[in-house]
Amino acid sequence: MIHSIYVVNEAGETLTAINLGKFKMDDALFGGFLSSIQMYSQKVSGKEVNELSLEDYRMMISKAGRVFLVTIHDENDKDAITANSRVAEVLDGLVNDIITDDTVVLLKKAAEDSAGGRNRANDWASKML
Amino acid sequence: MQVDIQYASEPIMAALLIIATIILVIHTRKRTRDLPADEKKLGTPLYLSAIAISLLGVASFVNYLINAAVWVVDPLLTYFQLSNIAPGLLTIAGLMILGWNRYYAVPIVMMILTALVAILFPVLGVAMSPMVFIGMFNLTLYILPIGLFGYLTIKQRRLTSFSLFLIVLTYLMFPLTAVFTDPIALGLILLLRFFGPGIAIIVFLKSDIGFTLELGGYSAAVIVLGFFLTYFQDSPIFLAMTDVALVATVILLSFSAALGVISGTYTLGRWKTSRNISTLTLGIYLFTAGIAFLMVALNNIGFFGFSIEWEYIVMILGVVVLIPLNLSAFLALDWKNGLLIPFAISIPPVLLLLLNYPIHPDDIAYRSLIMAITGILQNVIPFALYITLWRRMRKDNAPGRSRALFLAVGIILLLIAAAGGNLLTIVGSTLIIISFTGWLLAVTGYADKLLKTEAQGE
Repeated sequence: MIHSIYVVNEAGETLTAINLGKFKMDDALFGGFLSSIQMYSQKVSGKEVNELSLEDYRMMISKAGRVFLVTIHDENDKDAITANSRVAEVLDGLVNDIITDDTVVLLKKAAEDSAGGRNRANDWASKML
Repeated sequence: MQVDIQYASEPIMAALLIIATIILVIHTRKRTRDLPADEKKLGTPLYLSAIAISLLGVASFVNYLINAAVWVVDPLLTYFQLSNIAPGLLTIAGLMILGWNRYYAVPIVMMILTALVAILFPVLGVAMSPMVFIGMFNLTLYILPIGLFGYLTIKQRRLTSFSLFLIVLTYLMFPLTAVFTDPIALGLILLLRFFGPGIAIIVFLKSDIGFTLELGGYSAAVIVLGFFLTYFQDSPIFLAMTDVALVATVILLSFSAALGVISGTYTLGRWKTSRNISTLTLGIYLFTAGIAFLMVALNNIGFFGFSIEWEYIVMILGVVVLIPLNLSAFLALDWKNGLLIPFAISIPPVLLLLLNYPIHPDDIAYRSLIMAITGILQNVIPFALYITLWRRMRKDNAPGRSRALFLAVGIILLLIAAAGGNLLTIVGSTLIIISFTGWLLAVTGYADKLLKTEAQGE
């Protein structure tokens, strides 16, 4: 399941941060953190980073138009790549890097739909049982 | 009215399931209250599960009425229909949890088909019993909830999901009672069936509880009470129903025993963190007093065969059990010089009984007098000590003082109950259950909440 979604532009500004699970990080810091990593990666290898591990979490990074989409998953989430791609589809037609409330709703829905039954059940159990 | 023992367990099962339902609803309300508005819908599967569990309870009660020949309108069909809606709802809840919304139609269609089979088979004169189909649908509908709650138990390692898994699994064990007719095997199956709702009641009520001895103590109190009440229905006292007061007395004593074991377990659980020796002795008293009253109740229904040995054991237990209560009162006041007194006053009646064995206790000279003196001292001493503690705390306006007050009131009620020389009266057993309720309120801190004497922030 997706714990959080971050949309960050190339300047390192966090355009939106959606928390769906346990993972929490300062939104503004996250944009800067991602931007600096991508810049460094570009300098060293000429490529962008598309995956990072942070303690118990797995960060999937993809480019949707001119923005970076970052989804945070459990470290052993086997559906992480597929889930990230599904959410990225929402941002495909993004104009002028503006994230509206409707886009946020669509991102949330895409995140929920991308989770498999087992992930949804585990998420439900951790909140309700 | 003689009812087979497995059917005698059904009203108890029904009561446990209804209590589990109420506690599950309260748990769900608490959990959803803390969730953001767009996540409140996460409570729906648990509410549906609660409705399903209550329907299983109603089905159990109908099953009992059928065996007792009270329910006569299409009895078995009514039972199967009720027990069919429950797994249907559990399956819908499971689909909601998994987010497989597009499959809702499957359990709904199966439930409708069940109803149609039940109605149409007799009308169309189909030779096959509708129960075959209904039973088949019934079992199919249980697959998803059992699988899901089982998976969540393994994955999440939470007792709450384990208890839901157990409720569904153990409920399905009823047909086994027709296969295993050996009394021990039958007793074991009934005990296992009570485990499901018994554990659910505890873990949803106290969701921070782990897989500990504390959980064992609480669930044992609930399950053993259910077990006792089941077999009580098969005892000569209950079957004859000539002495209703005695039946009520035994039931009240068994409830008092359960309250004692619960209070004792709670207090011993508190001791694990406080390491206060007074808490330990009080916990031991409440726990053993609960067991002792259960033995009195069991002895009274002839469970031990009215043997002279058990008369002695129950009598000696009645004296010895009060030692830790006295110790806890001395320790609460930090009067360590008096710690030998509880032992000293218990020796004469125990010695008198042991020296006269195997004469029937009623025929031992001066037994009543010596036991009465010890009994009065064993109650008056802790009463006076706890009252002293309460007065001191009240003078200092200390928080938590109502614990001492409720303990003292409970002790004096026990003394009044025993004053007639026989606890086995309706008045005596009523006073005993009030005592145990008071003690439970005292140790759990509810006494302080009731009298608004709790510490700030509690």
